[in-house]
Amino acid sequence: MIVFLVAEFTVRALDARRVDPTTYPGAMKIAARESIDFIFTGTSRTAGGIALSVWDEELSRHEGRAVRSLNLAQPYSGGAPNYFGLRELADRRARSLAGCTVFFELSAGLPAFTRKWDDPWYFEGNAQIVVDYMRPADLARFLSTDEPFDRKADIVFRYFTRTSRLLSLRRSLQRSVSWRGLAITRRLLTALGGEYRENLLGAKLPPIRVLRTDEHGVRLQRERIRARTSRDALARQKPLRPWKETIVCAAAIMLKERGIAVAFHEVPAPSFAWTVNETETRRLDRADFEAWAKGNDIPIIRSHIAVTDDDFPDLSHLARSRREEYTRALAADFVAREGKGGREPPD
Amino acid sequence: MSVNHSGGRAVEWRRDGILEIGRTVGYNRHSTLQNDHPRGTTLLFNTWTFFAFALVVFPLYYKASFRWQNRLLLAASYVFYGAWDYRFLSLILFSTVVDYIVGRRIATTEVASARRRLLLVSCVVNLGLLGVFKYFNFFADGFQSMLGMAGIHTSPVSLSIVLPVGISFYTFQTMSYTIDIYRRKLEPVRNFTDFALFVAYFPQLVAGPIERAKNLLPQIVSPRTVCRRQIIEGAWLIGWGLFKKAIIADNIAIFVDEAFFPGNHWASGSLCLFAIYGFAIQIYCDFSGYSDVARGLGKLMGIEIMQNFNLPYMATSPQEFWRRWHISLSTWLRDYLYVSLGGNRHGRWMTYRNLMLTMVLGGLWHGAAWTFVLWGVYQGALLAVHRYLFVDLGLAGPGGKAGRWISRLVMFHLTCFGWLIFRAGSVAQIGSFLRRIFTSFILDLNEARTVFAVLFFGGILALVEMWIRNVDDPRVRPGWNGPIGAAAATILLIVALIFWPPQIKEFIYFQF
Repeated sequence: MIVFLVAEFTVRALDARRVDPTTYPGAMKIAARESIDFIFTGTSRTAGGIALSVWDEELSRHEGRAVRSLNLAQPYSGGAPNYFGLRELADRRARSLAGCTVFFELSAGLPAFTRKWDDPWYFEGNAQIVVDYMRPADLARFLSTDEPFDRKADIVFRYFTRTSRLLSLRRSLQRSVSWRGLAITRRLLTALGGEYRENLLGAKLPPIRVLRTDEHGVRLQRERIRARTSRDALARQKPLRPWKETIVCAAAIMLKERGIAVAFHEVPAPSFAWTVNETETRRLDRADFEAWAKGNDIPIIRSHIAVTDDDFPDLSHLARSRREEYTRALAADFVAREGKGGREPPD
Repeated sequence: MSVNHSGGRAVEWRRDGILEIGRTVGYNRHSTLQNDHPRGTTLLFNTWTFFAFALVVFPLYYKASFRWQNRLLLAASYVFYGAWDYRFLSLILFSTVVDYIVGRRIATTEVASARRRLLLVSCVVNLGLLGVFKYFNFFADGFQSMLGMAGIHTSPVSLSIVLPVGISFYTFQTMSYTIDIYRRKLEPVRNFTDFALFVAYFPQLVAGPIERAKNLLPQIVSPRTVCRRQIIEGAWLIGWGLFKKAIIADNIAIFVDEAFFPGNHWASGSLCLFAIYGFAIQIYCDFSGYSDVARGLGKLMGIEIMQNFNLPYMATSPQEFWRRWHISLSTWLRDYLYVSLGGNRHGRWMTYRNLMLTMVLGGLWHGAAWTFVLWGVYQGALLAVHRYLFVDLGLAGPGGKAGRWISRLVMFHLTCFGWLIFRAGSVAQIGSFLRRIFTSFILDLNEARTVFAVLFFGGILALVEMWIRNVDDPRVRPGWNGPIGAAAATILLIVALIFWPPQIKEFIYFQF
């Protein structure tokens, strides 16, 4: 018990000083002391594709004042964790979010998060983020889904132990130990005559937490993605519509009801992603989504930068070299759409 | 059952009901082992479902009288097995009934030929079930290939069939009972419930250890008590077993699976080498982890299950390795196969032949694939060559402490080569790995992740296993529940909480 308590208090002490602006807990800390103008949500494509400093620079110039943006997009996040996190921000940091616009990711014409409340709420490898801001009613709703007993028990355990920093931050701790260990291992291998084999693909990728940028990982990702575009995979596509039942659309409506502006932003996608979304099923899905967005007066911001598959080293994420250009183009499209007057500064 | 003939195309032989399940037989080495069975889920020790199961079973067990304890354990064992697929309970029940009846009949029959016939019935039934469910497609494909080589072309015949979890384990367990009665080493059990519990006892039902009737049955038929020492040792075994499985094996599996990914043509020699080391750690932790949990659960019920592993990578020779690795299988093969073949009683060459046959069949026991046959041949060859050099020629191995460590290092690498054969998806992949290790080896810093994982988790494994070995020493046994033991357990728990893997994986040996 003593060892456990020491570990818990050590982690708490370390965490108290840490503000990670890419997570909802970090965003809560930031929003406690300053206003937030823009929040990006989505997958690793948005996490790596948006150069926040460039976005802030462009929007600051347009609005004539310094703007503050957050990129809360995360690999393996999903609709439910974002719904809960945004709801918590909107409810507990309402003043800081006055005048804020929240962006949701679109990829190849469709929202990146496609799950409904009846689908699994989180990726199996990233369960903790779903309980961070889950409320008792959410837990009850989760328990009534068709999820297997093991997942339910896991979430219940995480929910009731989330006040423990040691438990709730274990993935961060794991990453931290791994990075330190990796650095030591690299030094050890270098001393033994190790060298970097050519790693051109990985070097082109943007820095995203947990994204594999080693050559092996990049090539593996390409292989996996190619497998997804097989004829069989396309034939197995199921409709994603109606979009109004998806968690991401529910999140958009929830924010609008709280007076927060919402938009969907398109991230550049390689040709395979468009191929996947050019089937009849996906065309109907797209039409349904666009009708829903129009009906709810939610803008879709598309940045029309020309890309080729060479701009996606792992066939998934935009190359580091194109981030700035994409972000500027997105900012320009957003500004053009917002109109000439700009936005009202927050109170 | 229906047979579909479709012109000149392949005849697909499908069966309704029990066999129409979908996953084909064999160890799926191309991807992470996932429970893709369409019906139920295996009650894995490392799941909340099993935790809930244990929360129900153990309090009831402690409250029940001896007779009800056995009935409860039998019901729990069938629930445990049936959770995966209740239809396969019929198989285990069939085996149980056959061996119960045959065992009793053999014991009451004095005529040698009749006893042999009864034994044959048991062997045919048990091996027949194993053959149909595990080896039918393998041998059908092999037979067709042979005909093809002879110029006779036939349409492929295969069953769409799933391998019942644990069939290889409980088949061998129940066969040992009948054979021991036949050899007059064992009296048949009177009570059917006791015998059924011996066959289906849930802690070791699906992945061993393959218990011997003479060890397990006396504990089942007599009242049991649970002492404090058993509770402490049981808790340690369960905790450490789960740690080995969930933390070490499942975390290392991520890197191993990537390296053995069939489309991986770019891996460097260093990745291949460390992936093999990683698999050596993974398979040991996966399998010995299961055995430890099984033993721990047994201890909590007052039942001592045999030790299945004893620091196998500390072996200095192939013989010693097999005395330390999967002890329950290797002793089974020795007692019921090697000895039956004549063992070392008929001269040098027959001994080599028997070693080779035993290990080839042992390899085939693991799965219906040529790589397992090759692995068996390799293990047989290692045993035979070692015997030739150090027994028949009388060569002396390296002596002293340093010599022993050199022997261990050599043996570990010979074992690793075996694991490459075992894990590879094809013979071509074995060649590809060897080529990259021996002809284009560079220490690639891009692969530092895999190296780190192997060193980190391998380091934890070595430290704790050596410590537990010392703790096993009666002179330091109080360390189990002393402050050092408690601190070690807490540190392991914290490491486990931090490194709990994102996905729960099946035990590798569930496939066998």
